[in-house]
Amino acid sequence: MPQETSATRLRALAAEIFDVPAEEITDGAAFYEDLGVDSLQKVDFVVRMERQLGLRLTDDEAAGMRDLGGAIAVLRSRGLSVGP
Amino acid sequence: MPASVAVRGVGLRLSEVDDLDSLARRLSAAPAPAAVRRFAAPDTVLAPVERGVYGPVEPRVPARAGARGLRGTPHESLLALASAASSVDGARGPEAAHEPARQDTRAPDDTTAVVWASSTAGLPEYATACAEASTLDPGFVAPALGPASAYNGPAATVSIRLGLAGPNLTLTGGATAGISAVAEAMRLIVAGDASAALVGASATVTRWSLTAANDHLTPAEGAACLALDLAGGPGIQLRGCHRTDLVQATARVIQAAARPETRPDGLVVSTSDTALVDALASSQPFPVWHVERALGDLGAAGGLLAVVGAAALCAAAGGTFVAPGERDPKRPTKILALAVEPCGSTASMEVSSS
Amino acid sequence: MDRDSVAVSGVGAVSPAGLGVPALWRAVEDRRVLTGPVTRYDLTGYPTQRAAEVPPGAIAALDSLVPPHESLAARYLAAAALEALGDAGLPAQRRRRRLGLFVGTVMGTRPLLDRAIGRGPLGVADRAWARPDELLTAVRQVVTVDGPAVLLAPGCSAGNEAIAAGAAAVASGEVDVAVCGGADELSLEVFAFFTSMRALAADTIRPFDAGRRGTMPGEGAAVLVLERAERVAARGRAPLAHVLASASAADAHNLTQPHPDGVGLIATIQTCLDRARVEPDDIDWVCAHGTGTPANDAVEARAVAKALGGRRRPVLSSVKGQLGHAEGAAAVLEAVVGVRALAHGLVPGNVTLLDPDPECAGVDLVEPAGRRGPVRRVLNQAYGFGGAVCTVLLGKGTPDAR
Repeated sequence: MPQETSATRLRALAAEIFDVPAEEITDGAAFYEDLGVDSLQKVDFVVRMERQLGLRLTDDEAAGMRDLGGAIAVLRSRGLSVGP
Repeated sequence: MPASVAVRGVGLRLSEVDDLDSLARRLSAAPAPAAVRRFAAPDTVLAPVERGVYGPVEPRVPARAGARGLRGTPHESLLALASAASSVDGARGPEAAHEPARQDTRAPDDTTAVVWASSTAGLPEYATACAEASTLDPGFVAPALGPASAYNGPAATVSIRLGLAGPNLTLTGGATAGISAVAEAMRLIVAGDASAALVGASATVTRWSLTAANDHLTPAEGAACLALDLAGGPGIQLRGCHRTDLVQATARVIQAAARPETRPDGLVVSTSDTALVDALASSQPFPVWHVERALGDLGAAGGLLAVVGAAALCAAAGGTFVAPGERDPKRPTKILALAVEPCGSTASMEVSSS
Repeated sequence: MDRDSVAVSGVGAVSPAGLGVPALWRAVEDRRVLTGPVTRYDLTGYPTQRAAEVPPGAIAALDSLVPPHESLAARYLAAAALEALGDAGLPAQRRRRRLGLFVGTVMGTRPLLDRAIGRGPLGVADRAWARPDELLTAVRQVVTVDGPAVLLAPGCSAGNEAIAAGAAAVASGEVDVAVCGGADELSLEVFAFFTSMRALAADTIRPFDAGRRGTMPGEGAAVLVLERAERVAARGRAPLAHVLASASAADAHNLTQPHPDGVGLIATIQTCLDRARVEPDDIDWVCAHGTGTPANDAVEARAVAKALGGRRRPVLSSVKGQLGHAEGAAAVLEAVVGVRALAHGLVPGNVTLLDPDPECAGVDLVEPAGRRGPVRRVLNQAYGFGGAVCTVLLGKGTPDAR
């Protein structure tokens, strides 16, 4: 399982699941409020990330991922290297 | 139940069928050759199989249903949505197709009911979730598979995408479900729960559905939807739903056929029992069409296709199936739709032009 | 249609409390919490491992009651139907009448496939899991059905939709007897995707509690036998309850989230009140959907407070803290509890409630002990994924209460 990922890769994953253009997924664009994502898409994104990276996030960590920047911060706090 | 409901629009997504005219022709023609396709179920012990099927059918979702957010929607729900949106466009006229898609933010005030029949909706999603649960660590099953793995994906998708806040029902089981869907929609309109109804049915063919498919019928995929309301006027009317067992249903057909004033002009049957259709065709004084022979096996959707097929034949009356001079052209055409399940459960409905 | 005349003449249930309505009602009265560690499936590695199962002893006892079938849900349904018809004093086999079957389910026979879940590629044994009509096979072997046989799968509103459809068939004269049921069995598939959605509670379901963390699957079947009141009286029997009204609608909002304002639920509650010509204060118990998920309960409490705004706050509790969420069976199990509540004058409590959620302050949350007193009308609400909502209003069996 890869212990590193990149913001570009995460953005592409989010773009696919949220069905929005990748350029709209900035670090600070809130999934719910700005991107119109629903809770099922959000949890789908979290599980797909967990699968790719082979790690399991706590409920609190998952809840804290409100935007891409937040997701990257949680992954880094778990010791993952997240490139640009 | 009301005396009758009127068909205001029809949406079809069927293999080699574009509209009611071609549906009527297809019912009367020799069965079309089925394209052989290969079906596989990854991450399971099921071996791939090749089988002749009617399909695939492209959804072609109309603009009114919106384009964004449909990426992960199951194929059967897309077929349902496309046929439902087309039935609405048909009911509101050609200009309706250019109405903008609904904005998600406002609370919908359209109390049209959505009543759907399917025996395959959610089946591939359920099985895929099981395969993932078997091959991945706990907690890694794709969450989106879950809500899509029940039977109600098509009805829910139609309601959410078209903003229809009336009752949302899904019927499953065998062929009678497709006729019962019309009966339940009529009930909801009369009770006042619904202002009108979209009644549809759908089926898809996958390696999973083939585990339970009838060997002697051609599996088929597709969807059909009728836009129904109470208003009178000219057009196709549906009335007189009877849900009973095969003995009583057969007795009704024979009694109706015995007298000219009650005799239908034809019978469209949905059943997997081809011998029953042959027996009816040889004993009754009117033509008998068989949904599964003409369109393939669509499970619970077969009953609704019997109703839609009867509507198509009514619309085409005076054309191919009635010999010239055999009938008074002013007399309305009346065709009976009948669904019979292997357990003996039956449902019938009268379809007529006026 | 004269809906006042649709009577409940018999009830039956298979639940995590065991076989029969007496076992179910005793568990409710005794405030037993029936969720516990799952024994049917190996949940090693799952972060939560609890659900509400029909006990193995009860499943073994089905052998002497109903025909064999691979689907537990099919057998639960047959057992509940036989109990309910017996309770109504009706023979299960044909006796010159029109009997219709109206059954709600969410997953039907699909959980048969769950048994193939192991470690590695999925083995697929039988074909009944892909045939929805198989759910009715066992009940059709023991009950003569010569009217409609309708299998409703609209999501978790299924049980109430079955009651609504059956009541309408009785009121219109389409059938003399409507067997209205709901059935689902524990599904590992459902457990697996609820795990991924992080929607499961690890210890206890606590509906309307500030500390609620999620729901748990349940299972079982329940049946109400509906007939015209005159028909019940003609047999020298008194109705157990009446179906006063039902109403259906949809949120038309989102596949998994209820509308934030509960618009579908509010519409169905108001329609039920209008149809039964009763006021909000006439509702003695709101038998809530109350799944115990953070998303559901606050929305539901706000919607009920709005729809039933009277002189007092609506009295509300959920039995899912005790029974788990039995999906398609849930609403009919709850209707059976409602019928008993009407008869016994007990509003069941929120048994697992510790710390009421301030967001639910608009409703009067029943304390765990429940409340003794006259119960004349019970409002039973159900909805689920997909946005379909169905609400049923039950009234006391004796006519003077209406």
